[in-house]
Amino acid sequence: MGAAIADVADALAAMGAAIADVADASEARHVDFLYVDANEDTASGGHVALRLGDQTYHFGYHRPGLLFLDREDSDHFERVYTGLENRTIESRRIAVSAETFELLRAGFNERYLTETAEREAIDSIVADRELVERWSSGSPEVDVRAAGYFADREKSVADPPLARLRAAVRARYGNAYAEERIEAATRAIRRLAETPIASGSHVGWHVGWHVDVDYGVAARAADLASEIEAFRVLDAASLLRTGALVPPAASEPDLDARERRSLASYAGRLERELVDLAGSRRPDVGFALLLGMARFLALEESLRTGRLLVLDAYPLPPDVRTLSREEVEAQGGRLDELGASTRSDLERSRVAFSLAEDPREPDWGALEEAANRHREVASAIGSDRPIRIRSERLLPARPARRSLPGEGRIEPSIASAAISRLEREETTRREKLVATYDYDLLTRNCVSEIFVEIDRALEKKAEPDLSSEAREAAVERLAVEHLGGHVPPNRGFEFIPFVAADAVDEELRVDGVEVSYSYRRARVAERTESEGFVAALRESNVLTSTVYRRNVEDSAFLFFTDDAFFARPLFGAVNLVVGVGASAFGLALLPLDRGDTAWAGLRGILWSVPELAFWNVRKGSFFAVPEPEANARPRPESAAADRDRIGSPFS
Amino acid sequence: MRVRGNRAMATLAVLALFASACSFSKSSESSSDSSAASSRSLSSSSPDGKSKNEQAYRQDVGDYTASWARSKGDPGDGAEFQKGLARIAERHGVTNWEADRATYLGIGQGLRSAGVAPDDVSAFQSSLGGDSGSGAKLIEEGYADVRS
Repeated sequence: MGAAIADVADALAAMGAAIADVADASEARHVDFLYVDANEDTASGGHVALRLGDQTYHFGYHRPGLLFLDREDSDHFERVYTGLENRTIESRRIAVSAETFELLRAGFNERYLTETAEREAIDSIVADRELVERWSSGSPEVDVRAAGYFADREKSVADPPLARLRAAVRARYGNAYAEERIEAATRAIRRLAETPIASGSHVGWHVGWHVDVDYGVAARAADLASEIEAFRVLDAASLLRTGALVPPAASEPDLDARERRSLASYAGRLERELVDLAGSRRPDVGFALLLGMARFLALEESLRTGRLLVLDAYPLPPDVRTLSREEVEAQGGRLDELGASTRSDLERSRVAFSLAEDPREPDWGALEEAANRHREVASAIGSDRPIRIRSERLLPARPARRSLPGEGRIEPSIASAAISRLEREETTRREKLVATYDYDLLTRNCVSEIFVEIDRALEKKAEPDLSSEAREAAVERLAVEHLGGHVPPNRGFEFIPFVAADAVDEELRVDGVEVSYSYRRARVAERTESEGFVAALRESNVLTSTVYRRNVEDSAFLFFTDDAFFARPLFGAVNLVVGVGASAFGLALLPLDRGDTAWAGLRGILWSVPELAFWNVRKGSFFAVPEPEANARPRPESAAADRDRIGSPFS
Repeated sequence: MRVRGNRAMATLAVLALFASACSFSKSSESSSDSSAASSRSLSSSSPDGKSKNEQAYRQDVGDYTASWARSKGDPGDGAEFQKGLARIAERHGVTNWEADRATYLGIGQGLRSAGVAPDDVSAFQSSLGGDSGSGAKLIEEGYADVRS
């Protein structure tokens, strides 16, 4: 562990220096227009995105036919698209002023926040309606997040760790403080039952991308129930429930002296913050207090045992998917590789946390998440149990179901009126959501909306109250001023990703193009360079490739054609035969595999057809990829020229 | 140009036959990626000491506050503004947002960006950090930060 820590510390120092270099060089800002080449199925048309520093924005298709703005950490975006999806990314770098950068960043980000709030609003209305329905027929139950980490309150031990926190809270706010908070929250819940509809704020729709917050009766009731639970846990100085903590894997070392110091320091700070938090009147105090106390207990237990113990941060089914070892391997994954990768992440996180001077809550969250992910895989390796899969951030929130306090129920007449209004509101919102975010292949897709949003951001610099024509002229002038040119949305074929990339090349102030090659192409290029032609031959097909493992989510094929232009029709013909064979074989397997093989064969035929005409769409995909390596390399030629040489509008 | 037009027509034909022009939104919910998800758990530090995560959080709080200030003017009774703030904070792994200085700096930054007059900043200070508390001072700091 010592050597590993030294290595990781060196790596972190080097990373810091590299980041510093980048930052120095980035005083003049830039934005990157990203063209992501195609892959089979939903990615067949290619994709575009706009990278604004650490954040990348792109429009994605969401069922049942809506187009929303998505935001990713830029490193994560690249890792997902070049790694897991195995697609090459071309970045067109456009130099901009700091003002232009901020204009675009704020424009895209406000739209992202607004869209997110609007989508959450519908969930909020549905939750309100369901709660009012339950409340009118009796005392309803609600899920209290993070309450599921605590043991029943009857269980007690002498001198529990939360007793110190309870004493500090009583000393600052009074001995009866917890009871007072519980009573106040209980009264507030009774008031909600009297006027449930007035407790919602389901009003308004975005006007020029303004964020509206929906804080309806269900969210308010859940917050109040959380507050009650939090003060009960504090007052009882409850313990963690068995199973709340994830124990270390056998291979994990104990805490060293430096880690003990950093954990003790963070636990002390968390304890002080929890005393402050107990005095807060913010609406979401309950969840923050419950999670904070659970984490405090995990820290205390870690210090007591000398081993890193963290809360089990995975959600409960159905919010988490599981995969057996067989399913992982069918997708080309290997648990031992995942275990090594996640162990490396955990080691880095441990060092980073122990070196942090003033760690914030997300720093502990990062360590907690890395420990959860590694231990999940390590446990599956040791026991053959399925692994839980969740790629979103892991925030511990294990819920427990609690009844809302109070004797009464909502009066039937009040409930009926509230339900009717909420149903109307839900219908209206859904209709508006479809009308506002409807996807259209030709006129409203991931390309057109990027340019729409750029124009919208620039328009903020235009004079107000202009006529439509004058505003269009002003936007064009601003685009020339800020970006060197203008690409109007929905012009000609520019709704097609690669045509749009060419338009950016021609119209905007593009300083250079960088390519991040797909994971397979980058690895094959490395191996061909070191091993020669034999490596290229070996990696040309699914059977002998050492980079790619067959993934059941890919169509049936034999040869990769994305890096084989001249052989593409020949390889395509072989792939076509493989597809036909797999389809026929799949028919025989129909009763056994529910048509999976037949479907892969049919898709194999489909994506082989373009290859006959020198086009490549299919590239294969990966279950997991190791830490990102330097795929980026400067482009010697223009992007369009390279694509012509490759010969595919998709690749 | 003619070549590009021909390729575009061919592309159109393929698109019409095979699929859509946009990726499904799955980059953020890729079910098969344990390692990529774990990559997000590491936050690197930028030269001025603020982590990428902290900067992104501060910017989100700033944009949210700016949007709120432009459309509503003041935080009202505070509950809805704070609830929205809590939702944003949680996406960044922050649940105790009151204890995070980036929250207040972001609010100040957002108020400045929305063009809120210095005298009107106090409504947000009262709602969040108390008129003279450390939160209030940090809001002023964020508001005064020219770079923000």
